Amino acid sequence: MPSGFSDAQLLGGLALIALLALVGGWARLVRLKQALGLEQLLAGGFLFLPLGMLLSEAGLGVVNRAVVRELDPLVTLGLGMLGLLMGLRLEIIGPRQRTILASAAMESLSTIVLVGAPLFVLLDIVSPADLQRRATAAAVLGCVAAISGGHSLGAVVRRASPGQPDLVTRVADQGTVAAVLVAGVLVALLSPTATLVPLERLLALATIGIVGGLCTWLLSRGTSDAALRGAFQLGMLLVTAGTAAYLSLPPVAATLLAGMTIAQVSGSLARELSDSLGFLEPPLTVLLLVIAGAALRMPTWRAGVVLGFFLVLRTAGKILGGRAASAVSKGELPRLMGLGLLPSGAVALGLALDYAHSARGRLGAVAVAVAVLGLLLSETAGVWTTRLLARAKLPESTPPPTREKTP
Amino acid sequence: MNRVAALVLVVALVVTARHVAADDAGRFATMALGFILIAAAIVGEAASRVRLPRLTGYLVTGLALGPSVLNVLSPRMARELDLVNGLAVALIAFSAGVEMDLEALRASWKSLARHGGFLIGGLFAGLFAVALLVSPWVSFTAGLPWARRIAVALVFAAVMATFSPVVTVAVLAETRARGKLAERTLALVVMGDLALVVLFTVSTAVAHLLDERGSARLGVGMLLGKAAGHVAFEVLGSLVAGIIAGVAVAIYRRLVHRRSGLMVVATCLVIAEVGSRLGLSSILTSVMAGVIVRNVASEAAQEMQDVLEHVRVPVLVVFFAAAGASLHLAQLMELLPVVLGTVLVRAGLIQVMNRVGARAGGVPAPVARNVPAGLISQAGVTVGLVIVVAESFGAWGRAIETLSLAVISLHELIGPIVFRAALARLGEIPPAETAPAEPQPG
Repeated sequence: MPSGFSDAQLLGGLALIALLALVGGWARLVRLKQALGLEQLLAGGFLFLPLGMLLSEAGLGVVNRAVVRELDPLVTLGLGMLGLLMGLRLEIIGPRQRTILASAAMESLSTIVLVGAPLFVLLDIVSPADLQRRATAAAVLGCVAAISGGHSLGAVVRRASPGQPDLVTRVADQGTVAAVLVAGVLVALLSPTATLVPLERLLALATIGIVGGLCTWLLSRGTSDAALRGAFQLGMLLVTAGTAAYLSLPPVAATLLAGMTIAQVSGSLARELSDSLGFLEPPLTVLLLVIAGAALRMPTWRAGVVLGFFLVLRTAGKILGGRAASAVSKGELPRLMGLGLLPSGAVALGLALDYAHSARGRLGAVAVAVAVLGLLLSETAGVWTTRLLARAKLPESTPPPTREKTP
Repeated sequence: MNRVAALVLVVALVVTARHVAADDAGRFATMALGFILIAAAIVGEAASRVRLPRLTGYLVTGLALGPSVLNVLSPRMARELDLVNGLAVALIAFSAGVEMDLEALRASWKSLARHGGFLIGGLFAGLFAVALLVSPWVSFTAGLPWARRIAVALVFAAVMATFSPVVTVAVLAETRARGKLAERTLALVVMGDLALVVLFTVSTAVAHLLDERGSARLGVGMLLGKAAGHVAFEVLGSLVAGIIAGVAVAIYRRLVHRRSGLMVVATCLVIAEVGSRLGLSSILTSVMAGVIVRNVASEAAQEMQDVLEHVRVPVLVVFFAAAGASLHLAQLMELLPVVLGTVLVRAGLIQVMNRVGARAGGVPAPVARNVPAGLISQAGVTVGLVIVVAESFGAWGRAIETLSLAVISLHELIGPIVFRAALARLGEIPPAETAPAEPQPG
């Protein structure tokens, strides 16, 4: 690990992380968290964001730029992991799927447009940049806004309607997938490099994802040793996410495509991968949260204005998008569904971090500040909004079919 | 066939990406890490089919992809894998500690102490004597005064008397070998690591005294005092840190009841990173942590082994592929006669001193005959020492570095092969591991 901080700072930072890990998992404290109503807020591990701020260069100085640079492969792996797991767990077969997909697309796209278009204009006023960079930043922030955290919503919905299929959470998950794919397409089209034109970049993103998925399947198929198969799968995740990052394309979108490819080719492998790689999800999510917290620079008035507009527009986008999705579903989804979609998720941070890495400069810093602070505020507000949703009567429905029978 | 097709696709993807990337300085490490992991794992699997250790396959892949041959893995990139390397060493040492049952060790500690004492002490003394005897004919010591030749011989003997706990544990883990030879070799290399701290620190301190530049800077008393303090800090500090880490893991297991394996991985990462900053031995610290977990929270040990089994494979693949990339092929070829001479002398001394030590310790003859095969390997820890020598002792320090790196390269390549063969000879490798694995149809 690079130097630049004292041993005391390092040990202090590690002690804090260890304490949080212990507090997070201590069985007796789980009951206390439930009693205080903090379970939902803590489930996503979002307390690691303020911890990242505390450990940042401006705070204890442990997670400085050199450390962030050294941890870059792990951060890319974490981003790739989020995308892959989303793709693997995506249920795209079933009688209600058309309704869910249409509702999710409606909700997600309306939020992207409602947030992205005004921010495109606003960014010109508060942080002037050329048209292309502004368009990319606004598009990424629109996609960040469209992402909904299924983790908190799912728990509330399951409690409110035990035994009922969780349509709202499925809409949230598929809306997030749509947002990540749109972000991937827009970043590929809007930020060409010296050697690749926009369409070539789009093609590259699709190729990386599909080849990544196919190779994971090929390598897993011929290997009986579980540990070796795990090594191959991890290697392919690194190659897929790493190749995308190397070409300045979003790793989350590339691995999402890989995950979808795997799920299409072999449902049983998708389930196996989801279980085996799920082991790495908590530490990598924690790492992402800490790095995102540490990457936050105290917002200037400009970023503050963007954040304010972002929160208002996102709330409006989610509520209106939820209504539109409910209309599309012909009443199968509650009209207040947007309230449950307000909590965001680590994927939003992943998109913002990845954009900041390739964009650098002021716009990248604004994107991270908006994503981090927006996430914290929306998660806090989400504790109450999801309860409001839970009090509303959720529509009854039949259980969703399974994607594929396990052999 | 599936693997070949996948490898071809991955190579095509990586080569195309390198071709079309705007600049080469960007985020290459993640892609390269994944590529190395897949390529080395495939070659390692192929090696196991011809009854070679998988880690020889990983080393050969690293060597082929490294600067000596294809230059896909540059020295800068190999350095960037430091985080993985540190974790690998700590994880492997922790696994070794978890295998150590204090009750069982108590029964054989006298035998082990005699065996190890004669072996390590005799090996060091023998290497020192040979190095001193041949010094008039060696290019970089021929013109030196006798005091300096003694210094050179001391430092060279300390470096060459080291073993590789990492390679030993890796071979035992991949072959799942169980038996007297596996136990004895593991105990001896861990003991060797403990002795190494003492031998190397004292030897370099005395060498500084004999070296004019060193003695001019510090007084005799101060230098020896410093050396004693260093030894005490590194050995005792590592053991205390290991106890703290082991107790922390045990407490976590008791309070949280889940993700203990993850806690172990995180602890090993902390040991590797913080230990190197504080000047502690990550091997001793991790072994101690493992011993504490095994003997204090034994119910958690099996659960941790299961998780470590999954983490260990990718970590070992990357670690040994990176080690292969750092092998000094050019130096090895250039100094081949001297290197071969050194390798033969060291192997001969290990053979002789092991015989003496085994007789003193009452080790059964079949085990005693095969122990030397497990002591050939040298790896990362020795490379670290050699770099310290080069930085501390000017021209002759750099000459020792060049020669030692070439010798270590050869030991790293042949050590795992002979050790695996010895384990197979004594029937300590389970049948499933000696026979080539059947591929799954598909």
